[in-house]
Amino acid sequence: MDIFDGLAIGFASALVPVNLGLCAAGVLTGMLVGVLPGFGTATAFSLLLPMTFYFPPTGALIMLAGIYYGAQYGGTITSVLLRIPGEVSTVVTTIDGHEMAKKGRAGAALTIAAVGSFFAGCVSTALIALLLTPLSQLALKFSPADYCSLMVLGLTMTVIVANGSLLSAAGMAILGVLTGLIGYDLGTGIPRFTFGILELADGLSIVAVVMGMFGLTEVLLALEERRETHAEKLGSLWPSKSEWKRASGAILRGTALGSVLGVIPGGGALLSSFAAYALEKRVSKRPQDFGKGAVEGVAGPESANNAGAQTSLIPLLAFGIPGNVVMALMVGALMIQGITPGPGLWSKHPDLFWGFIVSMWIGNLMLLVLNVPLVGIWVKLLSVPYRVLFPFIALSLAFGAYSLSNSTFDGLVVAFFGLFGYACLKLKLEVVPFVLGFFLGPMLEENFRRTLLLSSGDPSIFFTKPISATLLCVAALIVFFIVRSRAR
Amino acid sequence: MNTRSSEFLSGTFLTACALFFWKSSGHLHLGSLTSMGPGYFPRLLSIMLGGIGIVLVVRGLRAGDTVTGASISAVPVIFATAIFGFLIEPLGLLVASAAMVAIASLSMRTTLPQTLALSVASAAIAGTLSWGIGLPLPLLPPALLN
Repeated sequence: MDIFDGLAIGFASALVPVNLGLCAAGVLTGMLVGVLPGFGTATAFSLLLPMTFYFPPTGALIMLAGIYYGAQYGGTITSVLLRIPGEVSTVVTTIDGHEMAKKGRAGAALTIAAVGSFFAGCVSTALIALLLTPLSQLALKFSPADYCSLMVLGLTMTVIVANGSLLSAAGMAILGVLTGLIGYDLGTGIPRFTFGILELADGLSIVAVVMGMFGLTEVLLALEERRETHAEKLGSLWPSKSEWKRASGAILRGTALGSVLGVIPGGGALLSSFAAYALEKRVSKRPQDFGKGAVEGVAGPESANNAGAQTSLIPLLAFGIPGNVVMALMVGALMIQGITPGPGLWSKHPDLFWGFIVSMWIGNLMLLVLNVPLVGIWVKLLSVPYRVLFPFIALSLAFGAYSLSNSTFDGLVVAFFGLFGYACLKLKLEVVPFVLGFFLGPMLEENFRRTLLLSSGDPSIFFTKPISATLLCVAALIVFFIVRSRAR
Repeated sequence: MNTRSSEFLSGTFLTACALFFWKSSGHLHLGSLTSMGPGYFPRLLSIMLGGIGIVLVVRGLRAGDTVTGASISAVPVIFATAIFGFLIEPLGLLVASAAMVAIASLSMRTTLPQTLALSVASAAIAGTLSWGIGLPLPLLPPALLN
């Protein structure tokens, strides 16, 4: 099935008024949740995910897309207005975005972020539509050894992005894998690390883990820092001509960078935004502006962030491997709808697949459209003092965890991982490799097992299979270069 | 020797985790490389993690920054989050939400009227949310309804 047929099917199923309404609802609720400090895309997604259960698959997916974009943008709003990354991948936006806000250019920053993200979304949606077919075909050629190496590459990339010590980030990735193994070992049917606790039979819920490590940890951090709030004035919403001019180059570069990095598992939005910021700083004629409100410092990362997030759907849809936490949640969402992402998806459920792609684009557009009148309202919401806001947030986290599977145990998981995440932050241990390792753990083991079974115990198969060898070499090269540049 | 450096502490933590997973997988059948039992992968990973942990400990002892701690004020929030789920059934959602928020706000410096207002507001919001999403949660305490 070629792209235009696919897109036609997609638009046909997506552009039904009901679905558009669901998309708008998704965007609004996504923004509402994402704009709250401490609620990132992952949290917002997990909280709002149960809402989608009540709708048929296409509608649910479109709503998910809306929620996703809404939450992402909500995170941007928080970053610009409060200097708190509302979402992991908007960390970079806090640097120059907030400086712009201090100068009264918050509206401009937010608008440029929205437009840049939309442009990046368009380009990357096109890329998904174009590249997914060839990539899916490639995916079918993947042997267990190749999958293993792909996952190792993904984990390596999350480790590389680490701010602190590479070694401790690697340790966290391994710890994540180990934690992911908790539960019944599907290969042998034996329970591991469950200590007789029934609720652990299926392993820990990734949603609860993420809500704890990102949501509750944020609350604890704010407690420690004794944060108050102060929202900045909005100023005019529209950027000036010179701001547009400077931003446009950054948007293009960010889109390109994000599109490339997003495809790699473990890359995705976060890596893209950091890389884009670094790139902008290097190519800028006025590097001294960075850190003081350079508009490129917002435009580049925000576009890269969106492009990366979009193209990180490619490994998800083609291979069934999520590139980052939100994609992991997306897998969960899709599976609950009865869709298993992977090589067969687009051929078995073309309407769902293309509907999803199209709805991602519609969600993106909807966000741009709704953004302009709404920003003022969000700012008012954010001027609520933290000591009022945070009990609500804690309640939200606990409630969300409970309501996902009516499980009192999950509340404990959230609490535990809130502490865990906080401890990790204090100890300078990276949480991102942990989470990816957690999700990939069981898959990694299964493929590792299969590989060695098929090769009769010969580990050199990882290097004799061409795809696997290439992936491992790429991983090794990346590590080599990063280690070398760090040693300088 | 800097025993409060983040590297030393994180290394200790990771090593402790490695030991934990090592011990907990003791009873699992190892198998061989060709046919890996349930214990193989965990043990392999534990060794790797332990190795990394030890390196970090050694590195941390030599240099590194000091870690600042958290205060006891974090406890109410964590406690409230943990028990919320358990409160819903006996107390109904509204009371559970109010109670949870009240306990959580012990972590922050809220005054009593503020806490009361918060509790009522969050009960209302949680109730509306639950009803709106269609969650099958009891709003009022079942004991009262019987």
